[in-house]
Amino acid sequence: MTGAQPAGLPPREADSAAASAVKAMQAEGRHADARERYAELVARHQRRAGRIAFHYLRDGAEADEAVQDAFVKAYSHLSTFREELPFEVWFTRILINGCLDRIKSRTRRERWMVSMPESAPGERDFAERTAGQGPSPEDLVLARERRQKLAAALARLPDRQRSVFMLSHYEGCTSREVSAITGLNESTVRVHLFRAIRKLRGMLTEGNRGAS
Amino acid sequence: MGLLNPHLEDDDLADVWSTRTSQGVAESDRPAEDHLRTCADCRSRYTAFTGWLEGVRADAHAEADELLGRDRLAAQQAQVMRRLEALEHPARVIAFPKFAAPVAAQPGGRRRWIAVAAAVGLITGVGLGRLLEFPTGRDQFVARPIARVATPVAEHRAAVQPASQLNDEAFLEPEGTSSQVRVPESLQYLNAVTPSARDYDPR
Repeated sequence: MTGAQPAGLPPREADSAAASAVKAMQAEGRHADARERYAELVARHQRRAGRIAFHYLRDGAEADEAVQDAFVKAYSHLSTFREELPFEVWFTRILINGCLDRIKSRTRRERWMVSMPESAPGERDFAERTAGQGPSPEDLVLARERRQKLAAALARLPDRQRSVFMLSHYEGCTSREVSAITGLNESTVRVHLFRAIRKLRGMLTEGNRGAS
Repeated sequence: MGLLNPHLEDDDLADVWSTRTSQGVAESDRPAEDHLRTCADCRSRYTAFTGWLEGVRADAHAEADELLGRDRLAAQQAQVMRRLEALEHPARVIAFPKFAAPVAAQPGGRRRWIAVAAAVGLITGVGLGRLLEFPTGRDQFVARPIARVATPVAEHRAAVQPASQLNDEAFLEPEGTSSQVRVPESLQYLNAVTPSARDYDPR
């Protein structure tokens, strides 16, 4: 997580305190103050939110929109936020639901539209790719290839397994947190995680064997 | 792990890892954990397995972080704030100058009522018309030819009279009358100034 946290409070408590304060300000009609306080929450969570949205959508611009929508939706529905649930969990749930909705509508759209050839996600133009201090072109190509394989393997996982894997492994959530975000019970979360790992390993190992 | 193969399989390693990850603990009380503690071979395989998973995570984070630069995050935050501000001032529909009232406030309900009343009136009218059997245009159209057919019959009856009843004058008079009748009004002046066969005297 990034962004400033109020001194002396762990991140979770700081989030909940900020969310409660924003809620109270909204109720009192102090909208400018509420927005200002909410900006802290946005700053703390936007990188993580962007990462999650990007892993779901595989498109930078769409991930941007999904994150914006989630923050706006969370702000306008803050009156329904319950303090006993961490803000992070509540917000992630809104974000993932938004991403899944976008994937559904994209699938419907693609059914009727001819796709155009496009550059690989994250591909940069020539000026950005010229010699610099970063890794060598070979390393970049290999890394990109590896990421593409991983993304393709992740995309082939069922929705629940993918969500559980990404939240547990990428974001370091415990099974209780994943359970609160996805609405699955904890033992189901563990089963999905195990199956996701097994499938991913199978797919990526097969891919490597095929390539060699 | 089985009787023939005492070592942990990939699925066991995945099970150990997923249990540790989901419970957020260093070690769990699974049977495979006991084996891992005692078998160096499986421990090294487990280390390789977790290393592979760490690689997957590092790749995924690197890819996303490459995209989420500081500028992009700042622009995103500014956009979120703009949208939040806009929430408090919802967009208004500006009425076209011709209309006094805003477009959204037009009496759509009244127009709907008028349309419904017109439709009900039409249906009631047609229904009552059928019920009371008013003569329709079709009936009138059929009656007209009958009247037309009747007229020549009456003329024919009047024309067929016994010859004895008619003298010469009577015979000539209707002819003259009928010839005047046959002359169109626009030619009656010409007819009057032109000598007719009756005025001709051979003497």
